[in-house]
Amino acid sequence: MLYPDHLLPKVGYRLIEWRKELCEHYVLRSAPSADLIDPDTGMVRARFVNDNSREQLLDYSTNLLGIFRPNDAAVEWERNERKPYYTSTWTKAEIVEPPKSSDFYIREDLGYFFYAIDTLHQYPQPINIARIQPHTQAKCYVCHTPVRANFWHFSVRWKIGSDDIETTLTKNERRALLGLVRTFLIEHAILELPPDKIKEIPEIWYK
Amino acid sequence: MLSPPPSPPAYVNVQDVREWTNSSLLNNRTGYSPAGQTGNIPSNLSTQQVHSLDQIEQKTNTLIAQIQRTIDQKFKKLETTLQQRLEADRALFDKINVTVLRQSCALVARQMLIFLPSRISVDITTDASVIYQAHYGDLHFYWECFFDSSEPIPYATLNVTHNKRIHFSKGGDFITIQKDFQSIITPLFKKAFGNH
Repeated sequence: MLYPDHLLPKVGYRLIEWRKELCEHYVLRSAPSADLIDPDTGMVRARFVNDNSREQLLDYSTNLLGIFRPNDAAVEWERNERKPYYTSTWTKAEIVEPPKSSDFYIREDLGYFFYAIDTLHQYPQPINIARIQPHTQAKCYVCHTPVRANFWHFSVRWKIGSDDIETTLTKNERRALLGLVRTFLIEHAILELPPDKIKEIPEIWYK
Repeated sequence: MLSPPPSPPAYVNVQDVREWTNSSLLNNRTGYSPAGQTGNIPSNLSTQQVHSLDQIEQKTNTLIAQIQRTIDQKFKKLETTLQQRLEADRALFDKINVTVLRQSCALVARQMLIFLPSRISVDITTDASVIYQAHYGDLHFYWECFFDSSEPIPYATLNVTHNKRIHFSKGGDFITIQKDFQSIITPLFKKAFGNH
């Protein structure tokens, strides 16, 4: 089984810088199961919004749709010594050794949902931080964070001023803000995305 | 019993939903309707003509019993779901005081249920928290309790959305958040039902 070549960074690639045209695109978020929807609410299950740790919300892992297709979310890494290499940050001009078939497998129980970058980028309406009044606001931003095995990896992060949430807030403040973020992510998760919504990624963005 | 905890400051307060006065926020898409047009009340109870005080009393008692039964059924379903989730991810709540967890969660569930949500669910997270989500018409309430063996009282957050937009967001001790929930939902509930 060959690893999907279109996911691998190429030597001539460069970081995709933020541009307003990204707001016309969507990102995909993987989930550990296809059983995504809470039948009691019709919305994505809370535990799947972040399935590993709440701290993921500080650097929320997604994939830019376009060249990355929903089926690519089925790629799962074997827990071997090579996994850290492939899931670590790719740097420009770095040549990536293609993964071997023993490095990954294809999940059968595949779950994912989507977010409109426009929605994420406009989030939130200003949030006042009581302790850090008067002017500080938490803001969300979407950024390209390619890893060696996936050039299309994007992160969703929140900052207060120029500082990461992790370094700015106390434990309970972080819980409160991240509770809000979780609410936002549940409310705005798109469970089905028509194929025509997936737009091509212009080459000039990354070549 | 829960005792008053040290109270951390309110954290985020996007917009106070309590300032809202539009009763249509809690329209007939709540789980029940005083007029009986929608929801879980059998239609024969609401459309039947009554001719005496005895009949009115009988009808009212039947209605109250029906509502109570529905609340109890939904409460049991939430308890069962929570139990299943806790058993599936037992390690997450290993060090947590089970009594505090059960008591807190039961309080959240009951308080959300008495305001007759059209939808309600419970889920756990990998952060040893339990999150309840209740829909009252277009208002969605997210009440999350965080459990930590070093904290005798759970920390909680309350987030309220309307048409996907967050209109209230706050974190604090469980008792503070409970009061916030009641102060938001009670006037809206009274106004919505008083208009019928």
